[in-house]
Amino acid sequence: MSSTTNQLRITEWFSRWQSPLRRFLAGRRGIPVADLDDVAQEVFLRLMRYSRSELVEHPQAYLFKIASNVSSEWIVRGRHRYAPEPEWLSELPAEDHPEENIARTEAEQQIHAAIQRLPARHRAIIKLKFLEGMDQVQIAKYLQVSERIVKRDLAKTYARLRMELNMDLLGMLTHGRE
Amino acid sequence: MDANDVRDIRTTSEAADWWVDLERGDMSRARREEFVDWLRESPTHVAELLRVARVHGALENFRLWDHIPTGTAVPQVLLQLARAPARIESGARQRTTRIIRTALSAAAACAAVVIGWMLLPGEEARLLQTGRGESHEIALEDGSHIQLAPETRLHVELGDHERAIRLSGGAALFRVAKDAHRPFIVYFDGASARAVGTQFGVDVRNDGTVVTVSEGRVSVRPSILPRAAGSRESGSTASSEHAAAATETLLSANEQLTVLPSGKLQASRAVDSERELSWSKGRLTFENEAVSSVIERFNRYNMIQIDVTDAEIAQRSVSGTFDAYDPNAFVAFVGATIPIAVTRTADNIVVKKADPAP
Repeated sequence: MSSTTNQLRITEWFSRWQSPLRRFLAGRRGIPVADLDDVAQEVFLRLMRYSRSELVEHPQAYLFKIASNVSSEWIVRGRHRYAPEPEWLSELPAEDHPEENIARTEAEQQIHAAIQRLPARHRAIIKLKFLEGMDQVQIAKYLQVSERIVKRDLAKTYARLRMELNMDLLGMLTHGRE
Repeated sequence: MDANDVRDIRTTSEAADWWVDLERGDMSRARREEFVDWLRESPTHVAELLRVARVHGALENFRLWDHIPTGTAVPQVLLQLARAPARIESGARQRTTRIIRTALSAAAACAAVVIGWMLLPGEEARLLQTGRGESHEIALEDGSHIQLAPETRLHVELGDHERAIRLSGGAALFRVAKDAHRPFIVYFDGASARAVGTQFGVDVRNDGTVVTVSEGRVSVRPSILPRAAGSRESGSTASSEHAAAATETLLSANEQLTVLPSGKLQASRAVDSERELSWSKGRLTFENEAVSSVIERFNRYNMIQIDVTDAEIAQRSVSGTFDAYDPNAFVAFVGATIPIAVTRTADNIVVKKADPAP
């Protein structure tokens, strides 16, 4: 593949899955963790409707487009299922929701504690990634380790944080911002 | 631990492995096929991947990195702008900055790595500030010159490896003396502008910070990278070059770009840098700008403040070049196109719409 074609592919890829991912993660309140499995079930079923070759072109784009569609439908339906939110409450900007702010602080504390428990190199890697915005190649160079180590440490960190963190609280942190 | 738990842990670590691959962005077709097959194997796989995505999202929004020490793992101190949590939490467009002063212990093993504006022991940052109506030119020890506009605040720190300026507000024109061993970097909210030998201006405005180059070349790099940071992973040189273009912009003479408050860099545009930077010579140039916005600029340069109460006048758009220190001339200019009544007090020039002549 020529380098120009490669660049175009990266552009497309970049633009195609970032917005769906953002949309999936954004939006008010997110999906309660109890429902996440149901959402995943529905996403799974919808994925089946596409041919394998279609999905292989841009798997993340399809996945997150479908996931964000399903979750927005879910949230709309949820309004009827759970105690309805007063209209004015949903119109307030996130900062004005006191219970959300408390939950967000709690979430941050929880994440902070979980990150502190990580081994030093794992911590350094995610700090370089999320604070400094470095990619895996840059992190490897900076820490003078192999890319394979960075990849492995990152994967371990994600897996570990997924296990340790309360997903509902996480929802408070990823949602309701800006 | 029963069989279910073991299976769940395996699924989670598989999902995490996939996520890290996805972030790199250089998955081969074969690998993508594997991924699709894995996804379609079970809804649990989909669920785990979405959970890992959520962890990623949470880490992106996590703000307490300054409280996370990294010990021996990180060999150097990074010089970067401290985040301003007040801005993010309140949602308002305040630009509060923190300047963190930390002494590094020689034993790096115990060092807390602070990401922020660092003052290394023995060095001092010099604060320069101008008030209303004041402009100031200063010569630095390295031969560079800084011209400060009114109501400007900046810190200067010339170190061994870097010549760093922190511009908190206002505008400044930099004439940078060549020093290949020490890049000259101007840090401002959202990005930094790096030069080796050049002349360029940085103007911190409400709607973004404008960097204009008059001579030489300046590289503008965001300090808080766009939220898609996780996606710009790449394994090949071609894609990492592209990723660099998305994060860093090189400006040449007569080029300008704006860094938005969100931290996003707008595309660079060609300008007449002499006109754009004419403020450094005491001239203000406007092109189709509202009177209210023009007046805001004038009011920085003058103790006598122009006060326009009429919405019709305030919204009119004007173009032209004006002597920054002559507000009366500007008022006269406005009066040439629309009937105005002017009242002068000791501190103000009050401009109102005049009643039409009978």
